[in-house]
This record gives sequence, C-alpha cells and structure tokens, in this order.
Amino acid sequence: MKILIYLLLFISPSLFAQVKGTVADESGEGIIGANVVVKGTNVGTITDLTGAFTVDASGDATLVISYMGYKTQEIKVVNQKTIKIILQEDAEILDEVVVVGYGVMRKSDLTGSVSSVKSDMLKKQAVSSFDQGLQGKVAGVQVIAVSGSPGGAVDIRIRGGNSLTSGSQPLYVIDGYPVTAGSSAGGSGAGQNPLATLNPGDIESMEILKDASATAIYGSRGANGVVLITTKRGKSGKTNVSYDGYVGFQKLAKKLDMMNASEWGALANEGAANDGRPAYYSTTSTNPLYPAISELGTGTDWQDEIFNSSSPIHNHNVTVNGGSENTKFSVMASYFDQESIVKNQDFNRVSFRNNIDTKLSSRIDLSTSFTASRVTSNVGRENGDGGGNTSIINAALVLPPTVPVTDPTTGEYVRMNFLTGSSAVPNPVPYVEYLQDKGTIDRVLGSADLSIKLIEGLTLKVSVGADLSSALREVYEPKQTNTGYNANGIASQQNRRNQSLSNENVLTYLKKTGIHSINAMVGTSALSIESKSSSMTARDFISDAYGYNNLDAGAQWDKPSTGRDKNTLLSGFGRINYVLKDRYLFTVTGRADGSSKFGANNKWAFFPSAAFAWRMDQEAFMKQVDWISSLKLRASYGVTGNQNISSYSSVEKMNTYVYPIGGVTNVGIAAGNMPNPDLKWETTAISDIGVDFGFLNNRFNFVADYYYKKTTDLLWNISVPLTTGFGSVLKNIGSLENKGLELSLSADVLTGDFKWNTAINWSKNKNKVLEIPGYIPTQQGTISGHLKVNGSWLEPGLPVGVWNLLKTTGVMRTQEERDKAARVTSTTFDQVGDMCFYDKNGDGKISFGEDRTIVGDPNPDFIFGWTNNFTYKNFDLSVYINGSYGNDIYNVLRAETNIVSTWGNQRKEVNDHWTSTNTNAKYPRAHVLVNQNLLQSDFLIEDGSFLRIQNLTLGYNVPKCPFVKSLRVYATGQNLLTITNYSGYNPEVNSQGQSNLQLGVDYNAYPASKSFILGVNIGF
Amino acid sequence: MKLYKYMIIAAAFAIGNSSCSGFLDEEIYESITPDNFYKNEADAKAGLTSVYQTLQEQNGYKRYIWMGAEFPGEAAYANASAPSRVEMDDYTWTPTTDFCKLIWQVSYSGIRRANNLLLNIDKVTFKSEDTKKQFIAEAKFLRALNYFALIRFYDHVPVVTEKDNMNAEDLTNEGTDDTVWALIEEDLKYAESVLKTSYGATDMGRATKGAAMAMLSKVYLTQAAWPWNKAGFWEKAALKADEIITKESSFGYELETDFRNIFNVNNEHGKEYIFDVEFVTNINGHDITALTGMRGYNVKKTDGWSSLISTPDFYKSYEVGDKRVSTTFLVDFKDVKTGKTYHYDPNNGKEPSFPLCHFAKYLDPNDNLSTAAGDYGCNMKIIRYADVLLMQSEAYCEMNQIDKALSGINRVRERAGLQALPSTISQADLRKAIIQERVWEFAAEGQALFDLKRQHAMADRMKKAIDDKYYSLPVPQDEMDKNPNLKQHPLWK
Repeated sequence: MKILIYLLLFISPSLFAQVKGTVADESGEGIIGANVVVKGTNVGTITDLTGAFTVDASGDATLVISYMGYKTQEIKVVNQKTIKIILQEDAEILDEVVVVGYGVMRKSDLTGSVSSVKSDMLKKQAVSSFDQGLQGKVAGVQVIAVSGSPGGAVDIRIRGGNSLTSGSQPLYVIDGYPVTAGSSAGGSGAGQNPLATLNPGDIESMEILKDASATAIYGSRGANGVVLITTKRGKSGKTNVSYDGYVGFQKLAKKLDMMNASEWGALANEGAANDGRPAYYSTTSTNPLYPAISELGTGTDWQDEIFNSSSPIHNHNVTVNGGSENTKFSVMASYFDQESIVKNQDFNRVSFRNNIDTKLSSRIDLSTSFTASRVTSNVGRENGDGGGNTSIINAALVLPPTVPVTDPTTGEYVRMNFLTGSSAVPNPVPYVEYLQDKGTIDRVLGSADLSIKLIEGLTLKVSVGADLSSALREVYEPKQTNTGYNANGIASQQNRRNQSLSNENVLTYLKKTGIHSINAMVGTSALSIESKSSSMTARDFISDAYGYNNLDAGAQWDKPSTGRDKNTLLSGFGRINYVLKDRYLFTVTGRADGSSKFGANNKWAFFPSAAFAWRMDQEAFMKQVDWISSLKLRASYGVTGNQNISSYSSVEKMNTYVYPIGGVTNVGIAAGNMPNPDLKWETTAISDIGVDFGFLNNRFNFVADYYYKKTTDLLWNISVPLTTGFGSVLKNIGSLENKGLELSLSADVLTGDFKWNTAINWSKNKNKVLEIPGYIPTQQGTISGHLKVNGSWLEPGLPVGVWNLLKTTGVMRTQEERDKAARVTSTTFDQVGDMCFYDKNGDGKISFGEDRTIVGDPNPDFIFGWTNNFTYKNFDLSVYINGSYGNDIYNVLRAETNIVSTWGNQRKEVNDHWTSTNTNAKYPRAHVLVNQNLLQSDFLIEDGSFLRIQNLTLGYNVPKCPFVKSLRVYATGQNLLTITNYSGYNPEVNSQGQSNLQLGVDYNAYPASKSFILGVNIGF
Repeated sequence: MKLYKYMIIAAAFAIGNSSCSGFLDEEIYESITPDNFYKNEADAKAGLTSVYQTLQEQNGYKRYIWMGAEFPGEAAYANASAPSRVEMDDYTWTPTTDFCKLIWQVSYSGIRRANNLLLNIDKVTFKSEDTKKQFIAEAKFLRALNYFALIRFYDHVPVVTEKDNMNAEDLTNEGTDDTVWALIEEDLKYAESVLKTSYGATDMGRATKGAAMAMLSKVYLTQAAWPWNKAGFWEKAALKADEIITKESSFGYELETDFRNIFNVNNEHGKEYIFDVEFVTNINGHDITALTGMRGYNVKKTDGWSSLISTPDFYKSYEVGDKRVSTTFLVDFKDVKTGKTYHYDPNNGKEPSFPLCHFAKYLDPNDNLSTAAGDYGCNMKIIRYADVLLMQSEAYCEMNQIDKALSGINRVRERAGLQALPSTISQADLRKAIIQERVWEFAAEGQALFDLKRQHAMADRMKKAIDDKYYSLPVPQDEMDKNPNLKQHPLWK
C-alpha cells in the first residue's frame, strides 16, 4: 500500500459539483480514454478502464464527449447526477484501442511501434497454433514453421535475432499472463510447440510490440519483442451462439523425384566400376536381394511407403457470448483433429475457455479468464540425424529403391539397408506402421483480475494467475522396428510438470485537464516458474503386447532420471503517457527486474525507455491539407533485456559421473563447469523512428519504421584452455546489432458493392556480430554427426548463420580442365569427371582450412506479406501471400541424395552426371565412396527465396437463412502454390528448430502439406 | 517527471518489502555445489570415482585414446570411417584433427578431478588413515595414467598439480618434460607402496599394487627408448618387470591358456588381468564392439559399423597355427538372424566368406546383454600380463641379455601355439621378433603407436617413408590459440 500513499501525495482530486457517467459503445462495452469536456471551458476528464467518468460541471452545462473512431456527441447535463452515453461508431475514422503492456491505449496515443492482428485474419487459416497465424501479417515478424508436423514448433523472430546462446523467441502474454508452461515431455516431431495447447479460435486480437517504448515495460524479457494476446470476452445484451467449423484434407505439398531401382542400379554399378569394386547388380542372379540388373524395375518408392495419400483435418469451435449489465461471459469450446501426412500420426486438441467479467460494485470489477485444454499427438521418428539414428524422412529418401520393404524369401521386414557402401538407415516402414509414441499435454491457464476504482481516474488492479501443465510421453518401440529388434522391445515413459504462478499489482491513473492528458501506470509483479521431469525406460520384453503400459515386464531397466528446475522473477515497473494538446505525446517507462538466474553479483537490472510522438495532423497548418487524414511521427529509445538462459548457469554445479567398480554402479561426483558469479542478462538498446500516415480519409494507411538494435553483454561460452579441466565458461561478452526497415501499406482500394481491401508489408533486417573478445571464429555445432557436417560460421563482422565452406567450380570435364584444377588429397576424387574446387590461397592444393570462403547466408534480404480481401455482395474472397527473398538454405540432404554415390538413393536429376559420353553434365561422376570435400562445400547451399500463396479462401454469406442469424460457407486452399528454385521439400524450413546459430538448415525436416478445406460460420 | 520518480520509488519500496525472504536466491535441486562438498568418506569416494570415470569417456579409452594409438599401427584400417580416423590411419593428421583436441581434453579433465580430490582430501574425516592413503594412491595412479597418455602422445605437455592454480590459463609446455616424468614416477611409486595386490569382489576394478608396478615398468621402458633415450632406464624397466614376474604367483598373474578367455566378459578379472577400463552393460557400456563389428551382417544382435577393421594382409601375416587368429579376427560366425554360417577367407570376399577383415576381440560371444549398439560390457585392456612379459623381453633385449630376454616372449608364443625362439637368435632379430610379437598379441588393443614409437620402427613396419612427426600428436590448434605460452611440438612447427 505504500504506492498508494505516494500516489495520493500528488493527486489532488477536485471534489466539487460532480457529474458521473459512463461512456459506452453500441454494444454496451465501456470506452476507455474517451474525452469528456464541459463545453466552453477547459474542464474535462477522460474515461477510465470501465468507461466511467466524473467531471465537475454545473447543472446546465453541456458535455462534449469525443473519442477517436466515434462520432462526437454533445449532451446537456440538466441536473442529472449520472449520465449514460452511447457513442456511435464513426466508420470513416475508426480508431482502435490497442492493448499494450499492463494496460490499453488509444492507437492515436501510441508512441511505440505496435502492430495488431485481429481474429478475422486468424479465422481464415486452418492452423494448429496461433503463432503460425502471424505469418506474413506483420512487418518485421519472421515466422517459420520449423517442422511441417501438426503442432510442430514454430520459430518467430521479431526484428532479427538478438542473441547467440539465449532464447530468441518473443514473450507471449495471454490476457496479461506471461505464458511459459505447456512444453511436452520430450520426443521429436509433433506436439513440440507449447503454444499449440491454446486454441487459436479463442483469440480476439494479437498485438506485437516491437520497439523499446512498447517492450521496455517487460524489462529483462522484452528484448525479443512481446506478443500480447487478448481472448474473446462477453458483451452485454442478447446471448449470441456461434459455430465455426471446417473439414478438409491435406496432401504432401511436394514429393521429391527420386531415382527408381533401374536408374539407381545402373548408377551403383557405374560407381563400383569407377572405384574398382565389384558390381552391385550383375546380369544374372539367384539372390533375391541382389536381382539381376534387368529385373530391377521401378523398385520401392519409399516416400509412398511412409506418406499418406491424403490426411483429414477438422476443427469445431462453439462460442457462446453474452451477459447482463453486471455480468458478461464468453464460453468457448473447441475440438481440433489433424492427421499427419506421415502415416499413423496425428495431432488432436480439445479446449475449453470461460471468460467472465462481473461488476461486484460500482467501484469493483472482477474479471476472470480460464482455459483448460488437452493435446494428444501420435508422433514418429522424423527429425534428427540420419544414418543409423532413425529419421524416417531420411530413411525414405536415402534407402535405395532396390531394397525391398520385406525380404522376398522370409517375408519379414528388411531391418536396415543391407547394401555395402550405403548409409546404414533402418527400414522406415515398421516405424510408421508399428511404433507407438504418444504425447499428451494437459494444461490449465487461469487468471483473475480485481479492479478497484480507488478515486476518480485511479484504478488498482490486482491479478493472480496460474499456468499449470502436465505432459506425458509414452513410447514403445516394438520388435518390428530396427531399434526395437536390437533391444527386444523398448518401452519408456517420460513426465514433465510445469508450474508458473504470478501476482501483479497495477495502479492506473487517467486524467485529462484542459490540454493535458495523462495515462500513468505503476506496478509490481512476482513470477515463479518451476518444472519437474522424470523418465524411465525398460527393454527386453517377452511380448510386444504390453506396449508402453507395463514397464516392469521388461527384463532390463535403464537408470531412471529426474530433474527439477525453478526460477523466479521479481519486478517493479511504471509508465507515463502524457499528451499535450492532443498532439505532443510523451511516453516514459521503466522496469526493475530481479532474476534468480543470474550471478550473485548481478541480481537486479533497470530497463528504461522514452518516446516522443507528434500528431502533425492535429496542427492547425495541417488541417487545411484535405487529403492527409492522419500523420504521426514517432521516435523512441530504450533498453531491454534477455534473461532466457537455463537456470543455474552462474553457479558451479557438482555433476554425477558413473563408473562401475565391482561390476556395479559407483556414482562419482565432480565439478561440471566453471562458475561465473558475474553472469547477467543480455542488454538490447533499441532506437526506432517511425511514421504513421493516413490519407484520403484514412482509406490508405502507411506505416514505416526504421530501427537500430544493439545487443551487448552477449552470453557466450568462451573457451578456456582445456588444461583447466574445462572447455568453456559462460560469460557476458560480445555484442551484435540488427538494423532494419519496415514498411506497411493498407488500403481500401475499392469501396461500394465491390470492395477490395489490401495490405502489404515488407521488411528488411540486417544482422551483424560486432565483437566477441577472446573468441576464435569456428564452425558452430554439428548438423549431422554421421555425415560430419558442421553448422554455421560465427565471426564478428558477419551476420549470424553464414556458412564458410569450400566452393565448387564445376565438374572437371576434360583432362585439360583436370590438369588446370587444384589438387585434392584423395586421388579417387581427383580424376576427370570429379568436382573441381576453388583454390582460394592459390597453392594448387585444396585444403578445407585455407580454401574455404563464405558461400551462403540464411538471412533474407527482405521478407514480405500481402493480403487481399475482396467482397462482392454476399461473396468474399481472400488471398494471403508471403515470401522471402535472398536467403540461402543449407540443404544437407544433398550430401546424401545428390552426391552421385551409392551412399543412398539419388535425386532423378543426378542421372545427368559425368560419364565419358556425357561430359557436359551437371553432376560429377559416380562413386561408391563419398567425396568428403563436397560435404564441406557450397554443393549443399541453395537459394531459398520463395513466394507462396499461403491461403486462398472463397466465402459466401447465405442471405436470409431460416433458424440462423447468419451463415457463411467457405472453401479454403492452403499452401496452394510455391514459386521457388529450392529443390527440397519446403523452402520455409529450419530443421534446427529455434536455434540462434543455425538458420535455414534443411536436414530431414518434416515436409509441408497443402490442404483443402470446407467450412461454415454460423451465428444463432 | 516528478511523478515518474515517485513511481519508481514506490515500485522500489514494494519490491523491497516483498523480496526479503530470498525470493531470488536460486534453489538447486538436482545437483550439489562444491561448498562443503568434501566432508565424509563417501564424498571422497565419489570424488575418486569421478577420476576413474574419465577413463571410460568417449574421448578417452572408449574411443579416442584407443583409436588414436591403434590406427597409426599396421593392424588397423579405417575403412570408410569418419575423416579424422582416416587421417590417423593415413598419417595425414594435423593440429585441427579432433583426436589431438579430444585426447588432450579428456586427459586434463581426469587430471583436474584427481587434483581436486588431492587438494580437498584433508578436509575429509576418515575412519581409518589407511582408507585415506588408499584413496590418495588411487588418485595418484590415475593422474599418472593421464600424464603418461599425454606425454606418450604429445611429448611436451603442461603440468598442473593440486599445489598449483588449477584455473591457470597460461601454462607452458616448454621445459616441462622432466617435471612430468618425475611426477608420473612419483605418483606410481606412491601407488605401488600403498595399494593392495588384490581386492574383494566389491572393489574389483580399482588400481592395484601390481598395476602401479606394471605401469611403472612401462614408464621406464618408454623413457629408455626413442625419443627420450635415457641411460639406465632399460635396466630400471627390466628390474621392475622382474619384481612382478618373479613373484607372479603372489600377485596371481599368469597367462590365460585360452587366448579367447582374456576377452571373456565373465573372466575380465582373471589371471591375466592387471588393469582395465571397466565397462558394464546397462551402466556404462561402450560401442567398441559395434565400431569393430561387421556392417551388413548380424554377428551380434545389434549392428556393427566396420569402422576400425583390419586388412587381409595383416591377417595373413600371422604364422600358420597361431591360436590368436580366431580371437583376434572374425573367422567363423553364424548370422544371428538368417542362421547362415560364414568363414573368412582373406583371398575371397564372396560367400561363404565375406568382404573386409574384421577384428573379433570385442565380439565376445558371452557379451550378449547389450540391446543397443553403444552398450557392450567387454572391458578395454590398459595393461595385461602378456605385456609385462613382453616388456621384460624388450628391456633385456636392449640390454643384450638374450637369455633373459627370451623367457617372456617365448611364454607368449607358447600360449599362442607357436614355436619358441631359439637361444641363438641375434639381438637385432630378437628386437624384430619382439615388436612383431607385440603387433600380433596386442592388435586392436591401442598399443600400436607406442610400440612402434619406442623402436622408432614405423617406416620399417609400414614399409613406407613416414615423417617422424607422426610419432606424436601436435598440440591442438584450439589450445594453441587460447594459450600463447604453449609451444607447438618442434616436429610440427
């Protein structure tokens, strides 16, 4: 209560002849921040969070009530003590109320860079999680579905990546609650996106906070941007029931054209001949696994073996909305079911939401939001490293077509690739047919806000909330699968419980006197996040019948493992938004954060921001310029942080190390890392200048922003000499920058009977690592262990994610070309018909360390989105297009499928490889062995630019339908067409998930699907 | 602006009030922090176990130390294995080859853990002073083993003990050779003086007095030979080997009659055992069996990768009737899935033979608990009794005492079913015979590089010119970049 006392010190309310009232819109919803002025005076106020106001006025005064987007109203007081005013919407200049951190604001009062996405945009897309719905809708937001699996992870970068090692995803705040729970219990593939536990149909709007003026209020979690999600709430009046549903099917968007058995057999024999090995397929054979070359035929199409020809998807949403004067409610129930394009996999969500707003008294409002959901998914073994590591996508593409699904003599599944000199991939068919891997996540997210109007204009909001989730993963690898065969069946169960508890106390003060208008807020928050996990595995089962249900039936058990992790965050924050003469806007924010994750010497941080905006259109000299309807210039600067590191990173931990003595487990304990008590958050300073420009009666709106972000105190595991016994220590060291330009234009191009509304956004971000003292540039991480393909190259002066590899200069077509070329170490790959590499240092020899050069950059030159909505009478048509230009993809699969070797099946285009009769070929000559230099070269880099018709929807509003208030039917096609030169499944890819250092990598990524959907929206 | 200030003050007060209970202190549930960790015997024992543990790491004897010493020899062939293994096989390794970094890493990791225990052991209250000495002796034995691996691979390495600043980032490797050798000898001598000759079942696998003596003999032998050539060390090595051999029955050492039995998981601590890296399925199993196992055939239930294999030429180098062949190589096996039987013929890769010559020491038929390619339980030998016998022969041969030299090697040959070498053999011929015997006896056991190095015999054995620098690993490039006080090996400059 100390805050209150301080506040009371400087608030001097005028308690004279008062008129009270409420201002509401046509639906009865209170209007926040409406101007209420006594006509002919400077006396006035603005309405509070519930739309209520109190103003000093004599009995015969006239009140002028105005609010952006509504028609201004004048009303005589005539000795009324309470007045209820309903404002009519002014469709021409509709101004939005925008949700900002810990409050709401009129869009016209904003000084920061905030973009909104409304529910009608989301509704048109069949997506399993709302974050996918942001794709292409907002400038500066790059959304990549890193896995095509339903419920798979999505990578979102707002204005580029700010970090090398910490999280780079934005903070998601749902109805004021920062969400962190919902993660799965483990496993790859589907169900990995914690946000997929929330029903996209519940969402009313999403606000994306991009610059420091908007995000600094979230302090140490604001650096990656913030996505504020508001769910649908009830409105008083007649109860509305609506049903939104769709059914459809999905198909593999693109099947890769692989060689058939005859083609591959010929290539294999050619490679064997070139490498001096016996031919794989002779002219006659009695061995059914190695048939005669003439009998190979088309062989096995492994893609057809694992992918469905079509997979159904359906979704049902029922919303009941309504309420009385005092209590408003919104109840939503939804069911979503999607079968994967990979056989026998699916994703399923049931969710329920109940949002209630109740007036407890004239001063006290209670608002509760509650949602419960269950997500289940059956997944497989898609992602991850290929070879013997069991990625079925890898296996389906790499397994030669000459390998049959079942052994023709025994009738049993071929367990793995039996061909010598060929990748040891398992047969993927038993995995899609028999593997059981089921994930379940139960989640409850509830919060309650109590708003107490203390005095006029001053409201205290106390919020408590909890986000609880419990996840289970049950796996059984039966004996038909390769891994299950080896272990005689493996069953495992993994559990994870996440719990996040929060308390927030926020005081808001709204006041307008004459030309001054203040919207001030101060608050505190405490957040505690805890997770517990456990895992157990048993092997060697007599029978597959137990599945994952009876681990005790296994003859052998793995060591069980458990984990527990807790972190806390304590904060104080405040914001003042001051508007002078309705045209000069000032916002100052500040937040102090204390985080348990950081070192003992650096527990607390302060994150300030300041912004100024000038509404030029309000100036007298602009009033005469007819065609300009609004013009605002904005500038902001602020500091935000990133505390997204794992807990306990700063302390020295004693780890356990097991060694058998006497044949039994002995647990050893030793220090596992070097401690760093100075560890702290990463700091990002953001400057932003922008302009909001509306013209021709706001029919056209243009927004432009330029930003510069510099992140310092980057967390990096800096190497220490190994003689210390450790490899590295986590330190705050180094800096990087992101700068960019965002443009968006929206327009009602055509109005009238035929309406055309269009919105284009375009953004460009340039990322650069500035410095990492003491770091020697190296390749970062490993993309494929069995191929020995490493990750991106990190070096100050370059963007994050670039690749530093050898450069191919073409096939050595003739002896002359071969003689001129630089020599490679292996003579096998140094003959006519082999690949030639660029000899950077000109020493006549190719060595990886000295001849590599930057050959690719995964960061796009620009990304864009374009939405079009057409309506004609009862018909509506919308087209969403998005794209990316100038980004490269590290197509690691080429190391297996385009390598002109018997290592694996090859793409059809590899038929065009060098032979003595085809010297002008695209690909080098065939081998059994794999040319390791090609695996370390730009042979794996491709242009990833694309333009995609993401969504095309045609709808029809059925007029005058009996029994229902409204009825719309529609047909949607998703991911219908992609224009790209990229040869893999999907140019929009990152098989490395949300990694900061590995961008644009495609290795065994789950392919994208296209879908065709029929849906209805019914209002009762 | 006044308002803003008040708000921040207000927030600060609110926070001040609610944070008094240590809300932001990290509570760690999963692990222990080093503050006051070393208190009782159990803590010291856990500290000691962590030192043993580095032996079985992938960078250690599970892969890199073993492979790094084996590939440069004549027995092993890297087939189409990972590029760095091919480099070790082809003598094309460089300071950036991962072997250089990983062997360095795992050795210093073990040294750090040993030093940590030795530094903190006085904080621990022991019930008996003997237990404390036993722990110290084991830690010193393991530290010596790590330094011995380092100096054998790299020749010139930094030295850090519990008395030094263990976090120092500026250690040098110039002029440290004598200090390293002295430390190794001192640690092993201490271990010899304290450790028991054998243990009961529950302590099986711990370092013994015999292990310390055998290693000490090897340390002397190494210093006597190239490139150290220290005078008087052949004698020291011979004397130490004699001390063991003359009392072999009291140590319980003897050659196994059946060569296969050395690698039998049920006989791992049999009479030939001196010191092993312990592997147990379902605790810390390894994939050595898979690395040496055969790809594409079902020799074991889990798959082999044909990664460290042998060559038909090496197979054919064995004398006719050598009983070690059927254990050293995969000769006969029955495919566990198809039931087909195979017999290896080095001159023919077609059925019923098969292509590529495979080792079989780690394909023990009794090692059948593994349900994954990385969970085999067959121990990795660091030193076994045949080695002591052959060390004795090598030392006496160099001292030109042929009679004494012949006894060890002839016992090994006898067990292999081969004829004894004649007493008339010349020193030069015996020298060649000993190295040949070691190559046959210890094929795939991670001895090759050091055996060739002592005799400076790489070019001779491999029958091609090989630069002397390939007797050692260069200081890893990463480490050179981080620490300017490190000097690259003179041959690698």
